[in-house]
Amino acid sequence: MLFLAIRHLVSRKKQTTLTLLGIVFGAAAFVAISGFMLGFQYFLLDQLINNDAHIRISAREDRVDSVVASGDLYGKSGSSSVVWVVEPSGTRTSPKIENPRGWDEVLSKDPRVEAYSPQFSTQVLFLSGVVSATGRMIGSEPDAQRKVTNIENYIKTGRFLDLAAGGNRIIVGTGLLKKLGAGDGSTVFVSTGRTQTPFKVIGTFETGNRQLDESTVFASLSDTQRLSGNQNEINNIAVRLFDFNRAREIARDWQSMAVDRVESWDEINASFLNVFQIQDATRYLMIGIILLVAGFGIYNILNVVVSQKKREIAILRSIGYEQGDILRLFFFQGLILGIVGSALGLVMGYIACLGLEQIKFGGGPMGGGAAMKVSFDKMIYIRAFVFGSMSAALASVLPARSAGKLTPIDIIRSGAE
Amino acid sequence: MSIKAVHLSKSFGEPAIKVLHDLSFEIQAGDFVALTGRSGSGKSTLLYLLGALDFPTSGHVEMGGHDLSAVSERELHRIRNQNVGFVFQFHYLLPELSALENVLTPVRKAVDFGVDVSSFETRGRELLVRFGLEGKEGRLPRHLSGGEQQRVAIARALVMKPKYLFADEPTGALDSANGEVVIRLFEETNSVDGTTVIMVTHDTGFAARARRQIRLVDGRIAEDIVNSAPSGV
Ligand SMILES: Nc1ncnc2c1ncn2[C@@H]1O[C@H](COP(=O)(O)OP(=O)(O)OP(=O)(O)O)[C@@H](O)[C@H]1O
Ligand SMILES: [Mg+2]
Repeated sequence: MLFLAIRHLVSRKKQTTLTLLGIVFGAAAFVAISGFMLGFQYFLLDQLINNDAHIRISAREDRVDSVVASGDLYGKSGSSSVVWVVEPSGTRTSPKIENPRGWDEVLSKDPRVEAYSPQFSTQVLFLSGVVSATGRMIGSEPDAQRKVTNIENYIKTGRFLDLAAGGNRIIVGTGLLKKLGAGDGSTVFVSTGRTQTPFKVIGTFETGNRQLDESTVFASLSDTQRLSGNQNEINNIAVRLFDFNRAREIARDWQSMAVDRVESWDEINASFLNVFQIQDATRYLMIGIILLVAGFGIYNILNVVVSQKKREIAILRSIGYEQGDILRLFFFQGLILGIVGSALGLVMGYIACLGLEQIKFGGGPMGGGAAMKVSFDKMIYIRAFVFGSMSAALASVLPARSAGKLTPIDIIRSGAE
Repeated sequence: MSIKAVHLSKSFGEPAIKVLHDLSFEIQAGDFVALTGRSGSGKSTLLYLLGALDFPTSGHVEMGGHDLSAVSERELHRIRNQNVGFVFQFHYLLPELSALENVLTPVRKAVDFGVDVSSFETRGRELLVRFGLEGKEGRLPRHLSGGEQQRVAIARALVMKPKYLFADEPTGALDSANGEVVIRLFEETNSVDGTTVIMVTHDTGFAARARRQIRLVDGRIAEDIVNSAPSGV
C-alpha cells in the first residue's frame, strides 16, 4: 500500500506540495523559535546558576508590628494596655548569621554540597579624588568563593586568589572603576560611615551584567569585617551543590532546622523562571496553532481525496484488499507528508537558527555587541519532528478510517448511477 | 466447483423493499451464463451476491461447496482476491498506475495471502499481449482508448486465474466493435481456461451467445433456458 500511497501523492503534485509546506513551516518555526527562546533561556539560566550560589543562607528578616513592638517595650503583661496612634510596621534585619559554626558543621558534612563560602557583604561608599559612588563590597575567602561561583572566569586583570593575602586589597568591577575615574593599581577610599579606609585596586572583573559591574567590589573576608567593625561575623553563606536541580528541596531541608533565611537559586530568581514558563507556553501555543492549521489542511485534503477515490477504493476492495489496507493507503499518505515535511522543516529551521546566531544585539542587561544565543539542543529537533509527524498522522486517521469503512458494492452501485 | 444459490433473498432500506425473492439455482463449473432482465429487475444485486461482494438478507450462496456466509473475513478477502474476478460497466482503473501495474494490483495483494506470485506476474504481461495491448503496458489509463481500458480491466479480473468471472454490463460503455472484442475475450477465457463466466447484459445478441440464459423479472427468475446452439462456443 506504501507504493500506491506514494503514487497518489506524486500524482497530486500541487496539492502535495502545498500540504507539505504547512508541515515544513510548522516544524521550521518550532525549531527556529525554540532555538532562539531556549538559547536565551539557557544563557540566562547558566548565568543564574553559575554566577551566583545555588543556595544562599542569609541573615533573617523579622516583621515588626504593634504586637512585637508592644511586647518588647512593655513586657507581655503590660503590652495589652498599649494603644498605638500610628501602628508600627517594618522589618528588623539581623545583621549577621546567628550560628556560623553550626552551619560550618552542617555544610562540611553534607554530601550534596560541593563547596560553600561564608561572606560578609556590606553597602559602602567609594571615593576616588572628588568622585564618589555607592556600591557593595563582598568579603569572602577567595579560595572558597571561586569554588562557589565562576567569578574567576570574569577576571579581566589581576588574580582573584591574590585577595587572600588581605591587606586592604580589592578587585573592582570595570564599570565602577570607570565611574570612579580610577585605574588598576590606584587607591580607592571606602567608607561605611564616618571613617574612610584606603583600599588598593589589584584587579578588575567584568561579568557583562552592567548593574553588577558598576557597583561591586570583592575583598577578603577579614578586610571587609574589619571595615564594618564586625569581627568574625558573617551575613551570607553561598553554597554550591553538586546538583543544582535539587536546590529547592535541600534549601527546605535546611530552613526547617535554622533561624536564618535559606533560599535556593530558583526561589531567588522566581520572576525570571516565571517569564521562561510564559515563553514556553507561548512557544507551544504558536506551534500548536501552526500545526493545527497544517494538520487541518491534511485532514481536509485527504477527506476530499477519499471521496474522489471512492470507486478505486471499491475496486481495490473487490479484488481482495482489506479494510486495513485501505486505511493504510490513506494513513501512509498523511504520515509521509508528516515525516517528509518535518524533516525538511528541521533543515529549514536549522538554517534559520544559523542565521539568527549571526544577529548581534547592542545594549541591554546582557551587555553590548553580544551575538544572539541560539540553542541547538537535539531535543528541539526531536520534538519538532515528533510534533510534525504526529499532527499529520493524527489528521489522516479520520479520513483513512472512513475510507476503510467503505464497502465495495455501495460505491460501485452509486458510481454506476 | 459450482455456484449454488439457496433460497436467496435481498431487501434494501427501511421499510424493507424486497429486490430478490427466494432464488434457488445452480451454475455448473465452466458454464457461460447470461443474466438478463429489465432495469431494476435485480441483476446487479444478484451478481454481487453470487460474487461474494455483498451479503443476502436471507438464504446463502455456496461457492465450490463452501457457504459464503460462514467463511471468515480473511477467507472472504482471499476468495475475492483469488477465486473471483469482476468486470464492471466502467473500467475503474487506478489512474496513477500504468496498464500493467493496474493488471497486477490483485497480484500485489495475493502476496499477503502467501501466494507465490511470480507466475501470475508473467501471466499479467501475457494477458495484455493476448488482449492486443502489447507495447502499451506502461501507459497510464487516460492514454488508452475506452476499449483498451476495458480490456486492461478484464486482464486485471483474470490475472489471478479465478474460477469465476463476473461481469456487470461489461459492454455497456463500449461501441459495438469494442463490445464484440470483449465478448470474444470472455468466450476465449471460458473455453481455454475453463473459467465460469456469469455476465449481466442488456444485449440480446450477446445473451444469445451464452450457454445458459437466466432472465429476471422483479427479482424472480422468469426464464432459465439453455441455448441449444450458442454461436460463439
Ligand atoms: N443499496 C440499495 N438501496 C436501496 N435500493 C437498492 C439498492 N441497490 C439496489 N436497489 C434497488 O434494487 C432494485 C434492483 O437493483 P439492481 O441494481 O440489482 O437492478 P439491475 O437489474 O442491475 O438494473 P440495471 O439494469 O439498471 O443495472 C432497484 O429497484 C434498485 O433501486
Ligand atoms: Mg445493474
